[in-house]
Amino acid sequence: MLNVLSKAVDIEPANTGTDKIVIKNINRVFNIKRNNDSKNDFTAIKDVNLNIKAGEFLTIVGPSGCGKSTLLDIIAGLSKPSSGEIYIDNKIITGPALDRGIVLQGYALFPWRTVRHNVEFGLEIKGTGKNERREISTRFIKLVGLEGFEDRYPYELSGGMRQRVAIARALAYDPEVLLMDEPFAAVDAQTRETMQDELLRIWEETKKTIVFVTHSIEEAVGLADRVAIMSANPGYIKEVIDIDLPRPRRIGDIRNSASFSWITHKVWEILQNAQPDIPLKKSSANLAEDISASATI
Amino acid sequence: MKKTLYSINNKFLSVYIIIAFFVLWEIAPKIGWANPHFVPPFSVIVAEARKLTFIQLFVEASVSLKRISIGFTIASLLALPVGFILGGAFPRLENFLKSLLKFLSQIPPFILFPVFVVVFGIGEKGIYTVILWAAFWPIMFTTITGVQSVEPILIKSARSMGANSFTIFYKIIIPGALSSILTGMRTGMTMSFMMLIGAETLGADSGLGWLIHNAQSMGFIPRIYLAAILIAVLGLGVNYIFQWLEENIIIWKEVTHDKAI
Repeated sequence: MLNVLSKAVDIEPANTGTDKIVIKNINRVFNIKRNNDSKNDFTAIKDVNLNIKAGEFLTIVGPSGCGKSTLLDIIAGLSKPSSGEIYIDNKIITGPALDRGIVLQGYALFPWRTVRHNVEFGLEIKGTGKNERREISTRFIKLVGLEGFEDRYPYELSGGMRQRVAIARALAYDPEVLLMDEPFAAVDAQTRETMQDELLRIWEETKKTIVFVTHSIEEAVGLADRVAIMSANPGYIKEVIDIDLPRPRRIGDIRNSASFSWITHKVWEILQNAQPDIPLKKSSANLAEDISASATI
Repeated sequence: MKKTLYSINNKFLSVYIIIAFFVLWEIAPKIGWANPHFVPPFSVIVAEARKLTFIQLFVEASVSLKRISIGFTIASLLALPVGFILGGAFPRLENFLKSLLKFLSQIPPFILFPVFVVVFGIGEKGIYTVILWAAFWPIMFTTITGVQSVEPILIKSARSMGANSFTIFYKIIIPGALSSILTGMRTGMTMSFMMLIGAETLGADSGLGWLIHNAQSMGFIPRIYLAAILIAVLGLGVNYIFQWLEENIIIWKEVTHDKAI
């Protein structure tokens, strides 16, 4: 069986790209200790299989609570799967390492460090010398457009600027894979679009593999080469679809195109079908009732 | 011109009340608002300071300061590691010990003074222990709080970049808890000053607390006020130093608190 599989891979044309990260049958079960009930296991992720190609921009989209952040934590090595394996460059992932950079939800900047020293944190752990650190941090602060803010502390920055610092920090120690957990969830709409364009530019410049988690369908489709659609309870990957929108992209240019609307609608449909236990009609009926009730008042 | 006058006026607003206080102190006994025997005018206290000589006051003050710094330093050296260990390394042990520690911290050191004397002997060691006891608890509790209030996402973020436990301790936990720790040290210092007077009346033959005790037993009322003023000034000065340290070490936060004076 394995032989057949490897042959099949060999036969495939080379231009599909090599797999950077291979996720095999991952399950993640949380043991919730409540009411002394032993059967309170919560399955956050169930039977997830996913291959992430080197250099691709993959987004994971799904409703909140579908385990997408848990999946990202497992890829980062911050959390261990209950069963299954996960490989990077054919090596099994056992913990966090500098080959993967993560941008967490809510910036997670160190408030006692200036922009420059935040960006240099990973390099300090890597053991990079002071002069080289400075040179690298200067380069990445420039890349995210924060020249002149090197000596500011995080409290002096706006949300969008903090997010740029977080991205620069994750890029500075030169990881091959950038993992992003809803990085633009906390910034306003205009800033988000700017940041998305910036991220696409940075991705094209640095040629990193990016795994980007979001709950926004538009964001997922606009950024990605491929979108993995997850459903909740238990979290599993419903479908992975290719996005063949032209590159290089600008979110503002594609947002109004017919193909973008069509793809987002398709993703929306898949997401709806992925949640059969939510009775749509009933909730809309309730909504109508609510409206009429308030109308009579 | 009016504006600058106004801003100068604002700056000295808190000084006015102190001046007014001393003026009232001077006048009140003289015009019969207060009994001059129990509340001597401020000028009498200044005269008393002259009589005692600056050198003797300096000696008494430095003896007291030495006691505080020794007791406080030992308290910090014990409380910080204990706080870090209980707050960071063994949170379950901290939960287990919490009620006992809270109970112990509520015991005033003077009740334990006889025990201290039995264990450490009469003299300086007993005084150091009283101050140690007073300063230890606030420093330890704020260290625990400080360590526990470090945001988990910062630790997660550091771990994602491959930081080991040691690096996380001195690059995340210590700076994250520092603000809280410095506040605790300031409280500990204030407690030390409050306990000093009591400790020096119990078993000392020098220091500002002894000066008060001695003057009390001999009926030198101006001397009591003099020593009290000196203790207040010293305490305020040390408090200022800590506040200055806090402001110059914790430079990554917006300044929100008002200054004392």
